Amino acid sequence: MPRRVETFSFITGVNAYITDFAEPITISRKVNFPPDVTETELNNIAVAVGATTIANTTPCPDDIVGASPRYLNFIRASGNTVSIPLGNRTNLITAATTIKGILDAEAGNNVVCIELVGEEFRNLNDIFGLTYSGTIFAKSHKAPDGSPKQFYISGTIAYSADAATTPGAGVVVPVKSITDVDGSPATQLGGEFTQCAGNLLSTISCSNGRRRIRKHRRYKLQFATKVDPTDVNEAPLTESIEVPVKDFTGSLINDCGGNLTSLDGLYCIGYQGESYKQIHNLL
Amino acid sequence: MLVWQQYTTDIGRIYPFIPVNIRQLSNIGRDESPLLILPESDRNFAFEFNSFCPIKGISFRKIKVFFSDDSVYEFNYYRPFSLDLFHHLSSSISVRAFEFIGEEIRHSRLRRMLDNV
Repeated sequence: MPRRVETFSFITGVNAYITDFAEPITISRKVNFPPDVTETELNNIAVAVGATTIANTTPCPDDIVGASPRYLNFIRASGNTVSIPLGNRTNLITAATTIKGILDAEAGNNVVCIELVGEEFRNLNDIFGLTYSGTIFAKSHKAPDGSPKQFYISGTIAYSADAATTPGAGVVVPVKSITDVDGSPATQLGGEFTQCAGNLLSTISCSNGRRRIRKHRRYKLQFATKVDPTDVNEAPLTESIEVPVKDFTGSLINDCGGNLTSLDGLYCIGYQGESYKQIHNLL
Repeated sequence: MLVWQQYTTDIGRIYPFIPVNIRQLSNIGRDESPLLILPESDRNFAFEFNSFCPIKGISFRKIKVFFSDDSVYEFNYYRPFSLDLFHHLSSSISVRAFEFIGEEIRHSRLRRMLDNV
């Protein structure tokens, strides 16, 4: 039997997709189902993630703003993966439990692991009202002249996790960020790195070898920079940098993004939600 | 890549670093950039930059130019069309004809944009 493709829709005012920063949006995604999933099971999966399976088109989808929803990936014993968009991250554990139960109905092809892939917004300039004149530049995060290597600031932060038995539960996650000042966040970020990520802890995070099980939520920033921002003759460059976001609450994630938009030279702001590779261990 | 320093929508929202998109629509090409038919003040608004800010939900306004050497080009234009631009292009001996093609904004972009105009 062929795989089946179904459209999962989230529609504002009906069953909106709730972003990490608590904005209800309209979005739809095609979902590939293996042949063994019945019509009833498919509809039950849609209910579990807050989606509808109405046919035809979704009105005015917010996909247009470069949105990619968060997904739960169910990896089965056969090696196949079923990826389901999740409408609300507070419903993560319940939805994962329900869907695993449905997919496990076929003997011999159980779900062996479940991953969360965070939502992504490539351009939130309009959400935060970011404007850029093209004439103000940030200080480059390249190491100052004479420094033999690039500086980084790294350590751990206290972080409220999406992927937890209780949403928002505290964990410690490692962070690493490029900087022009040894031991401090990049000058271009001002005090906003600490505002969004909190202070670095003296705690050392659990070792997982080179495998990163949890990747924290973060804003992705693009700056127009110069080594000397006041030099009118220096050609501007673009630099990308990420800012971890420790808070789980939507309004606080929103506040962090809003504060970042006041930084000099910032011309593009995007967002990537939390990813976690071991949801199955939380069920 | 070549970018417009800013792109101003018809209703006034400004987006930074939008790629200059030039399309050749004829078999005949030109050795020089078709942007050279624009006023110098416009050309100065386009410069080389090593990145851009991706934006979906807008089809940028474009100018389609029929050159006197039979080449045809289309490129996006960073600010609302004006009578001055019309007169400038009309007076160019290398331009046989031109068209102004309006921008298109999808609902999802528009409703977000309006808060920031």
